[in-house]
Amino acid sequence: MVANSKTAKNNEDIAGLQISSDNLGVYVAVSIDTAIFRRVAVMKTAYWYTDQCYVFVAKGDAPDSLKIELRAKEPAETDFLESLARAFCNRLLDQQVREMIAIETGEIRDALVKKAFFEGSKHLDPTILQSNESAVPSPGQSYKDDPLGVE
Amino acid sequence: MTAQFVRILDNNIYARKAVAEAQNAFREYCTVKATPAKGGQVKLAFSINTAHQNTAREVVLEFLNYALDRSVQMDLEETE
Repeated sequence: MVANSKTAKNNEDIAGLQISSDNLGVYVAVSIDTAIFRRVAVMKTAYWYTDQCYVFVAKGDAPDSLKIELRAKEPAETDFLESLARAFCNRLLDQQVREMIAIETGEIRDALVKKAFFEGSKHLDPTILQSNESAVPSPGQSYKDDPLGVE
Repeated sequence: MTAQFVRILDNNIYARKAVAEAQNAFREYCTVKATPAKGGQVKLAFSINTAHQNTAREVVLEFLNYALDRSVQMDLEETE
């Protein structure tokens, strides 16, 4: 994997993204402020990305920050790494919103689950749960016959 | 055996148990020596087994992916 040095230099100027290399190859580093993005959202997003790239998470240089390193599994150009990092950021935002909604609606969700289980517990007699099979066609009958003249 | 790759992991991000599981899962591919480092960190020194020298990079990075996966799974099991 060979990084285009000109492209890599340009990418260093992009806020939050930095393309570098070490003895494991080229990587793009994304700096995440954990005052904005919850740690759990960052970790879940990193988890989702381990199937498509190599992910390494470390404490960032700034306090309350995390540094995410993304590396391509196959040889790739720096453009690919940049788009990978941008997609990661989008996914992180998506996960953050999901986390916020889960917190905001947690009580309602719990109430609905409790209600559903409570209603289910009222029908523990299996005879009540038997379905009405009277309208099921018998052998030889077909919907094509249309005996009730529905058509 | 000389360590070919060294990585510093934060114990708050990578659970010790997850790293231990990764060491066990990858023992056919590499030997990983873990030593405590300052600030709640652990230093991992990777020595790739002879048969997998050609894919050393993949071995180390797959190891780290595995440790991250298990850490997140353990976190979620604890909190959810």
